[in-house]
Amino acid sequence: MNRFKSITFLAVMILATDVTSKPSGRSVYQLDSSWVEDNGRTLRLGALEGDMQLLALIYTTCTGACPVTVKSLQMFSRNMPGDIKGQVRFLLVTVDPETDTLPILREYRRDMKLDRRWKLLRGSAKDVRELAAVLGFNYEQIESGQFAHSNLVTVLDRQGEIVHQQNDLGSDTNAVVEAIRKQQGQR
Amino acid sequence: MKHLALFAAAALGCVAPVHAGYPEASTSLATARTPPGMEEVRGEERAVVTSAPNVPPPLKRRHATKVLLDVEVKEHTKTLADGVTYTYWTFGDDAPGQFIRVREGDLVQTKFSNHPDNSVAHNIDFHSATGPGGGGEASFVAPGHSATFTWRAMRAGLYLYHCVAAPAGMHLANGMYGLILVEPKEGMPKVDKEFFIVQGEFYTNGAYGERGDQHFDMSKAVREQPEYVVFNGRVGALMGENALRMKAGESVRLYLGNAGPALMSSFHIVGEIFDDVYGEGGTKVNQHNVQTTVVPVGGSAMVDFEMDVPVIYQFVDHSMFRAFNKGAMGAIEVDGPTRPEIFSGRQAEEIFNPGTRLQRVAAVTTFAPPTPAAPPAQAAASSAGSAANEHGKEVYNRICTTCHQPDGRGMAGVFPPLAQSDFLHDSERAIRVLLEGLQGPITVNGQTFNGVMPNFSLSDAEIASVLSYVRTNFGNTGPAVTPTEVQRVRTLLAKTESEAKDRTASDRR
Amino acid sequence: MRRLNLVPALLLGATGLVAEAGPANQIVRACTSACRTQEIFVPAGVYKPFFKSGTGTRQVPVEPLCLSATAVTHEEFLGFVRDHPDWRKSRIKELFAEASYLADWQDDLTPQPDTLSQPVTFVSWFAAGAYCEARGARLPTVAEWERIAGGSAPPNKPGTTSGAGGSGTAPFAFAMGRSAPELANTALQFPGVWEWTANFNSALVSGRIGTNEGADASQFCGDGIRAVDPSNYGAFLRYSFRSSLRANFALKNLGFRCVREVS
Repeated sequence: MNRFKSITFLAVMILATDVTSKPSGRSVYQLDSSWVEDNGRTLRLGALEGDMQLLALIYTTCTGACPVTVKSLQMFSRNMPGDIKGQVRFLLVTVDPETDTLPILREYRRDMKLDRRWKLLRGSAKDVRELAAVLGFNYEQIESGQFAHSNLVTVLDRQGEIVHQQNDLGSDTNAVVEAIRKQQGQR
Repeated sequence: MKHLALFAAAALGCVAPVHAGYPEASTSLATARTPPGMEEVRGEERAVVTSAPNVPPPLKRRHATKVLLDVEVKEHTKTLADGVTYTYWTFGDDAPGQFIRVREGDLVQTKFSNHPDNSVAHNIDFHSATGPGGGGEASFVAPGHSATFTWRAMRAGLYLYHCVAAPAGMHLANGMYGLILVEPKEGMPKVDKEFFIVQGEFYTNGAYGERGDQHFDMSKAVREQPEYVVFNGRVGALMGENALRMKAGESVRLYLGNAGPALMSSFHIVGEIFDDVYGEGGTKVNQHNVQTTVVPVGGSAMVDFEMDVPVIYQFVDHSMFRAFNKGAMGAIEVDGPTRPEIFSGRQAEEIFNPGTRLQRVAAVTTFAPPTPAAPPAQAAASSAGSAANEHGKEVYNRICTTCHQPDGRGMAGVFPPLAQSDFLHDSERAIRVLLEGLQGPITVNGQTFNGVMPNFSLSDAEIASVLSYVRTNFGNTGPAVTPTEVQRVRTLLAKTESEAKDRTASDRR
Repeated sequence: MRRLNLVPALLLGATGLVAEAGPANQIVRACTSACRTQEIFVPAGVYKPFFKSGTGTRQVPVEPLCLSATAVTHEEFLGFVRDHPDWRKSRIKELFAEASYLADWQDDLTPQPDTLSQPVTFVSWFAAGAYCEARGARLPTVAEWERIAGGSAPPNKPGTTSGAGGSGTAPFAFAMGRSAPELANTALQFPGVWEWTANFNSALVSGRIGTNEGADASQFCGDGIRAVDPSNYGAFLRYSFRSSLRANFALKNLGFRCVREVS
């Protein structure tokens, strides 16, 4: 009887994952691009599925807005209400893959003290442009290693759909929390 | 086993579709909180908006509410002046856009839509909104899309709203502006009639009055030299049958706006005084008994007054050449019994000869006193050719109606009548008037007038057409005037002038 | 033997009949031959960005290109969706094109019959990019497009649009494209639609709002951006329009053309 139940349970879980792994028509993961994490591992966008993601595009030598964005994401990660704490991961994608090599990204992780919930991604210029375009994120290289870009934090649900965006995370995180809580209800 | 499988299937079915991007427009947490010092918002209602020049009625409610406002941008070719078209960019297919009326403390949920057939992105900046770009950021959308955002009317007053998408001056100069009144909690003091008037400029590639489809000219805009300065979006929007109408004794409030984009307005009603002025569109009456009030670019003013003497009042931007040569004129028609105790009209007329002589300083064209002219023996030239007559009519409507009125009756004591006018019998004199302007005393139909008529720099063809038109309308009869005749008089005048100049020069030697 | 004789003749023909002196021209000619028919060779050049940054105006070098002479037509796009069914109206996903994708086509493979030679619109950035990629090409960057088609000050009497896809008379049709002076005598055409660029999402948020002033430094990395020539309102219109776009937008007045890099 037990073995029977556990096989069925397994079957159900496999079925469950199978359905949710096909991205919906709005999912950003349909881009299906290939990235490299700072630890050297390859990552296809679709693999991010399953967790909610808080996503921002930055570059490590940015002195203006990016440090503020990252810091406010960190504050958020520390002060998140308990009920959503385990559901959310953090994703930083560099818009300057030329300068932000993997060693640089690793150094950045150490300097900014980013834990395992954070992923740092590096990809081709074309893939970055594509991802940014989908998010409505504008950026332009004005000089070598210097970019002008908008300020944007995006919440992706488990399927990779954009459910919330905010220009300035700052102290007003209520909308983000609300958006995440809404997703929880969908489980 | 079956039970488990069914249960699993049911559970899977719970993965409901999720809205991407922005959740459906509901008052989010942020705007639902009430800022300190503001009223609680109760209920919701659709915004009431009206087209120029009318204003929605005063609000009856005594509480703040959530107002649902839809604004749609349409790019549309419309008439700017007689024979002149322009591609307007509009809010709600109107320039100025509709007048919106809300109350202090209201939460205004605005759905801003850009029609899919439009060519460019647009947005909206409410001067009554506190926040990024007055809504410009939140509302910026491409054609075929709409955006919703909510702002709170923190302060009462009369405010401009306008498009602020880059380049903002061009969007303004194409007609994207309107007015929104945020009533104070206790409402505005009651008046009998309310209207709104927005002044705006148009920078056309062609000159004022040049027929055909006109386009925006950036170089004129940067030099702040518009071809048109108009009230409510086009020449004559508030003239003739579109004049505002009142009864003598009624109190009126005018809600004034100035969209610019360049020129401040000096708003004046000829023959009337403003009793109360809400300077710059604020909620306090800060001056009484004002003749001319300033309406800043991107700003407003409110004026309250009572019309006492029945007549057609012209109102203008008192920068005169804008009024007479660029279209900044409108009218208020007041009906009622005459008030001789306030204004007598002409009471006496006599010869004035003080016995002194004025020193002659320069050649001045004087007119011989009008001789009783023989009635024209020639047949009425009504068959002057219908094309010339149409042209004459167009010139008349463009240039002459502001003073001489659409029906040619002029204005008693100010502008002589052209209707059944004995002044027009002398062709050469009529042509000279149009070539040079006219000042000094003249008698028309037994009445004396002593004003100034400017020179309008018309071509020979335009002068011939308009004179022919006047001669064959307004109860006049007379032969048509040809461009050749005009040219002859023009040459004659030029010769006389140069001879006079030579004489003066030689006098001095 | 016959084949050997043909080769030099072909080469001669390819390098053009007008044998002008100078190695530069010969390179130009050789490069021109690398472009296909209905493409125009654009030599290397420089683009002065509309928005300047920091202290001075910078210059962006633009590599030589083969540029499509005109925007992609309905007919050409039809060929593409025939071969690439994933890009058909009924199949495409919302991420890649919004609901108005090919709105004026009757169905997957039926554009309006009288529009075949007119620029295709209601296509998204993804669809445009995919089309170009399928032809070994890509969308032009903003720098490339502006260098080719940005023009300078608008003419005194801006003309009306010649092609369909414009909203009747667009008095600023010139803003949709005017040939750079050095391309004035080529077959380059601008049929009166806005055009997608590879990096349309580089125009900054501040470009949307009214002025040529950049937003404050806290919003943007870098010193804030200002327009080099604020009277060039054609450029303003283009930048403003670009900044309103999202990658999946399919709009009535927005088409595209492709470029190919020259080796």
